[in-house]
Amino acid sequence: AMDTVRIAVVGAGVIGLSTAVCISQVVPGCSITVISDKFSPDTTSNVAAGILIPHTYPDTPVPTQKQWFTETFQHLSAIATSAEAVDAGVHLVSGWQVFRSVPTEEVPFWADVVLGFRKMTEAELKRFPQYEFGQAFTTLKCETAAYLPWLEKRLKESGGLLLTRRIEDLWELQPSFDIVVNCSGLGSRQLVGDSMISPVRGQVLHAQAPWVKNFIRDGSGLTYIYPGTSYVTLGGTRQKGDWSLSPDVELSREIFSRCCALEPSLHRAHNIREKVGLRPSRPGVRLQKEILVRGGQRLLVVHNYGHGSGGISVHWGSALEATRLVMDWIRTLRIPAPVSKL
Amino acid sequence: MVAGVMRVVVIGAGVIGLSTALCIHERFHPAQPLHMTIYADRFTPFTTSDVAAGLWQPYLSDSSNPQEAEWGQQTFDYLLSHIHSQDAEKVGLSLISGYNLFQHEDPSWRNTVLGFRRLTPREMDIFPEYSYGWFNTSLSLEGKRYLPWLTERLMERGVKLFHRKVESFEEVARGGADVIINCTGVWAGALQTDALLQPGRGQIIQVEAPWMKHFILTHDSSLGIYNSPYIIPGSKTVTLGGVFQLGNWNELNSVHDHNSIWKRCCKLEPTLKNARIVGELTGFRPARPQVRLEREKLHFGSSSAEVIHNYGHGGYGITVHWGCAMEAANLFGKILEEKKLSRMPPAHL
Repeated sequence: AMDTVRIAVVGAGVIGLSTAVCISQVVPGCSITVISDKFSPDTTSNVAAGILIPHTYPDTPVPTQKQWFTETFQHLSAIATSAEAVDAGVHLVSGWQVFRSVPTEEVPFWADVVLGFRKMTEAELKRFPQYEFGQAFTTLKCETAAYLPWLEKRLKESGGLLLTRRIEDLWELQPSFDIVVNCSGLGSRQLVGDSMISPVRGQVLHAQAPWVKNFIRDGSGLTYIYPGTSYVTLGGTRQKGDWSLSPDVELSREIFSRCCALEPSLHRAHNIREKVGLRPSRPGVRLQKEILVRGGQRLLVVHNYGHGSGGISVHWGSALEATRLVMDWIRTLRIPAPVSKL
Repeated sequence: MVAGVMRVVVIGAGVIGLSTALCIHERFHPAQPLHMTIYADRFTPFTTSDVAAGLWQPYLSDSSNPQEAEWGQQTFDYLLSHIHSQDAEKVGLSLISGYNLFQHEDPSWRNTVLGFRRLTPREMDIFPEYSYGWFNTSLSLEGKRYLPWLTERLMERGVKLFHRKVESFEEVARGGADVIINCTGVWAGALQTDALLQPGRGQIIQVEAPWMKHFILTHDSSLGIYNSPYIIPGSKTVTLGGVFQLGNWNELNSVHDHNSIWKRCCKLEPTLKNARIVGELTGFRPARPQVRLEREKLHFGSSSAEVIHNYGHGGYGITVHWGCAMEAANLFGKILEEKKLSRMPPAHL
């Protein structure tokens, strides 16, 4: 009989939890423990609005990004039209992305993945006098406040464990675990010494404005209005290398002002709260295997981090790839080692 | 020649009554001084307009009166021009996108709404019971907000509103009204028999389902308009409906209708089973083959009164209200001209 493969997933944001759930669905005979110092509602993912519009990674090939986005979109579509939709926090939302001047790429790589993508008509653009060009489409919103707890529940139902603990060194997980899946996001900077990952600070506002039913996004990605189930997210900022988690009052005013310029009715929004998140920004997503060696020990690792502003948009595709890499490692484990010392 | 004060009485305080009153008052007062009063036995939130979800959408087939399409277009354009006002939310006005599902050709108003397009095959997969549909962005105007806003604007202008059940045009004429604007909706028959006017009874369930961001309207030509399930999100609740019963005056909510609406809407949108029901209402659409928007001069013994009828807007009152208010104002203008001409001294003196 084969021993149960013991898998530790470090990190409980959208990447960690979805990777854990994916592994539990696909890989037979394994035990999964998610270990993190923070769980929902205190993760970086909780600050994100969760709109499915991909972010472009300069160092990840476009076909790969498209594949991850497509897999995520299809996966969430199935949830959105199922009985689980409300518990999982996934629903459809339509809206507009507007550009001050016509972009070089009028039709992005993900145009055929979202629903009903088309150029905005002249009449629709009239509402945005400072903008020359726009795209209209229907996409999904994956609300982390519900989605993360929903993933946690599914993991527990399949026998997975959740452990609150801060890991300072991956070797702490030896010898309790056979494979470590590192989904620690920005934490990887310290945890595995990756200097390519750094924070891009994002500040957003959560406002009550339930009459706003459509999203509006400035093509630059800096200003956006995303209506959700319990509040509308108004954003945002992109501050490279800024580690501060305290809201900046001046920035809040400025964000509010930019959003009101796009949607004046927001002036009547109330109960506004500020949130800050540090995007785990990296030129490309690190999704690869690694063997760590120390003394006579080896540690099999799969890295899945560095999703920047696009984590929720590609999370399931990323989880599927990480799961494939985990299965590679499992095959290695199950081949008897030719010599006991490596 | 100094224009004297015209005494105007508006009967009815639904969306038609209040908007017609405002349109006329804004257009003519104070150049033509108006003393305007509104009488109604129901005010917001108890009017038919308060039951309506407030989505701008005409019926699928054109009315026998081509003017109605114009009135709808005028209303849409008028509302859209106010969408960026800071007051939009106070007025109860916002944009909303969504789906119409069925088997029908494209409606004539496809160029009025924003971004009208056919649904793609992948979108149709979301609605497995239907084979064709379209998507567009339209406007939502909620009676519960709009009527109070109209009332405020009227009161600011010195118009008085009274809770009073008018029993006849004669009583209003003898009270001194020069012009009567009849916006009594489905109850117009009580003031003057109208065989063409019937109640189109509707019942709706209001639920909390804040994840719903699109309207979904289904259509079945064999059942008739609005006898098929529809889901229309509002600013605070989502309206579920799909009942249009001609001739039914029952103002009580029907258990049978509740079950039918609930079952069919949940089938259309399964996530609704998680929604909390917070209200249920019945309203009577003032159904008529076409809107009655015309003048009539009534004589009572030696006196007479000019009446402008503006009623019978069926299930599209909010959709055409402003175009109709403007037409009523046009008719009012004609009345003023005629009165001026009749007061002018004969040319030979």
